Amino acid sequence: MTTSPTSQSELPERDRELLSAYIDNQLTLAERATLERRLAGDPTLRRELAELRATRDLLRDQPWVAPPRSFTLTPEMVSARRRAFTLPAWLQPLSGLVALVVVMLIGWQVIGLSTRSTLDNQSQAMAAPTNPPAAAAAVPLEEPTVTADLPMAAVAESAQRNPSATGESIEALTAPSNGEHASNLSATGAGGQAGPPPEAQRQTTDSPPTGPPLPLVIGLVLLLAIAAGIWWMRRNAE
Amino acid sequence: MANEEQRLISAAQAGDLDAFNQIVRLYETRVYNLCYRMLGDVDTAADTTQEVFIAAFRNIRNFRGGLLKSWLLRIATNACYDVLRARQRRPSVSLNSSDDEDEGGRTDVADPGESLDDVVIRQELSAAIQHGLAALPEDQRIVIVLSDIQGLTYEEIAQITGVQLGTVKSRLSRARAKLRDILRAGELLPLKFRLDDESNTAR
Repeated sequence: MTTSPTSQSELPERDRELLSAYIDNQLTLAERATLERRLAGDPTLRRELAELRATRDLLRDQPWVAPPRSFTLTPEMVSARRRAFTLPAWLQPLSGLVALVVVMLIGWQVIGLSTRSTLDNQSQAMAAPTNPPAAAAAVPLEEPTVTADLPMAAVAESAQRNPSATGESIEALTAPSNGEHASNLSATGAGGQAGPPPEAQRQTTDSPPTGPPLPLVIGLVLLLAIAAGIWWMRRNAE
Repeated sequence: MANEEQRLISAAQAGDLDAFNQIVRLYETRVYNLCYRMLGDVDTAADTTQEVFIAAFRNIRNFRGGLLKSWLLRIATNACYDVLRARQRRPSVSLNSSDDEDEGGRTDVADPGESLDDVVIRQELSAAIQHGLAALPEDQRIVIVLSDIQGLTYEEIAQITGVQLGTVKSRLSRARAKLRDILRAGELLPLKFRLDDESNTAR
């Protein structure tokens, strides 16, 4: 809109800041005294001060601009605004809670599925067919190796829960050499093929299907409650 | 006065629209002037002012004491920033051109004893200042408007704009110097207000 300034002040930024604060009585007594001493001997500083003060006074002397209309609110303005909201303020924190529940449900489902898949794999491996394919034959050898790496305390705890299922594992852990260990594991696998499945496996595979999990029910109820709340608020707003 | 304002606030917080409208009448000129000086055009300033009061009514329950004036001006400042950001996304709307179009629509609060010449000079001066303000960066413009037109303290400005006191000081200093340079370079001011006239600057 305007041409660029042709006569910029050559004063340092700090001096201009001091002058501006001086005009507004915002300097400390010490700063004020120092600046006044400088002003007494520096005409450039005095001119800058005069110009800044004149600029400030021009603005201060500006009369208020009269508003073109009144801005008082009508009930329609306020209610129209309320309709535009998707969520009332008190429901907004709940939306975050719902998101959390949904994430937890998804996480729970994923973990549940992966756990079930692992158990299925284990049970399939324990009850392997008489002539397994070459790739599948490696699975029974790898699975007990993981068990063998467990600390003794964990195995003992497991034994307390289900002594009959872990007796052979403890034997395998206490075996003196890797070679014997491997043969014991092989024997365990062979026993698994030939004999009945261990008690723990039977419990897992034979357990009846459970109903919908509690978090899922809570989440659905919460979602329904919030949807009903929003519907009710909108209906009232209209 | 303070007690009366507190009573109005409490009533408005309870949903009393009439009480809130009394607050509107108290502050509408101040809020409108902030919007006008920031946005530079009558219609946008009026629409923004209306939005400010609607937003204030919606959020009056969140007002937890302090100065109502500062609270309203903070809402107004944020609303102006929103409009300016929207303008930047649609650069066809010019901050400067709007002044010329709105020249006839703007009505300053008139002094009954003012002569016609004085009215013309005052309007020229007001237009020149508005042009100068429009050329300032937004963060400097808001500070100089709040300080030198609205007459607020540095502390109030810091509270409204959400910046440190030192930032207010430096922005105000830069804004004044830049506005001075713009007005002087463009010779926008009426003759008697020229800043490079020694007799004027020495007052």
